[in-house]
Amino acid sequence: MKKEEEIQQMINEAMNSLNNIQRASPAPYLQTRVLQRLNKTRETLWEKAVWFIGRPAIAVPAMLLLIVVNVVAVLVNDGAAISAVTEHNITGSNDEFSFSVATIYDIENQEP
Amino acid sequence: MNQSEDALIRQLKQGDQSGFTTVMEMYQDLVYNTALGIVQNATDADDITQEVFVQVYLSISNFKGESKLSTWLYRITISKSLDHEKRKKRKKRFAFVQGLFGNNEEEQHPVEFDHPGIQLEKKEKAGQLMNAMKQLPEKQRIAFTLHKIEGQSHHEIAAIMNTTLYAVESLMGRAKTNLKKILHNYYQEKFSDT
Repeated sequence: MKKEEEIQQMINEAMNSLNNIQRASPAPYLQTRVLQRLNKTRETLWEKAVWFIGRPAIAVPAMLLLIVVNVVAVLVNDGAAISAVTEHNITGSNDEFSFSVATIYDIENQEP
Repeated sequence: MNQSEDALIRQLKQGDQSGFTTVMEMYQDLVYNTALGIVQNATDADDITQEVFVQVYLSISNFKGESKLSTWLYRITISKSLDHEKRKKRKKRFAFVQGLFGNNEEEQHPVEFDHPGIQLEKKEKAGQLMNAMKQLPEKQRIAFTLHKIEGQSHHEIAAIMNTTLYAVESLMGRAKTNLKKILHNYYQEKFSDT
């Protein structure tokens, strides 16, 4: 019986042992260490980004995509250039050979 | 949230170094003490404190200002501390498996934790209580730690744990009952040994 009472007392003492506890402080120069870690994290982020881009699974499709985009761009621009030249030639021929049909009305109403 | 805290958060969001230093000065004890209460190891708590502030700097843009800055810091600290404990447990399991194959280079023995903020005459009993706290379920342990070690009210704990006041009161009640049971078994064993 006495043993149980003693146990209860010890439990109560333990339960109250954290009352009025003081706040603990970290080791000195925490700010310096945090800033150092922050710089390291930034470097790591860049390293991670380079590693991610450099992976064959990313690099090869990216290169292929770049090539495809370039080829498409060249083809589209080439087609546009050809059609512009053709149009220019047709206009030129029209001017040179006067393909427009002249009617009597046009001849009679010609301005001086 | 008061005006000065609002200005401090604005400074932080603009990436102002002096604002970040002020936040560290203001809250380093809060973060360290909370981490220390959970992981019960000074070196680990120091490491977690650094991780917390790095996280604060990197993710301040995600802070919406719906809660107090201290509440947000408590949440990050608790989450980092629990992650740290999980990592440590995984390492221990791995070391155990390695030990089975004869690769155990260094065996670590658990040391009774000595919190620097406890009065000298209470240190022994507090060490026993802290050991008992390790055996509590996660939520009960967090609520009890925030109340006993950080001196937070049940209202504040509810805000930090994102739960109701009733739930916190229930967690505290269960934590106390469980701790008494654990301590009872511990003292009973101690008596029977002597």
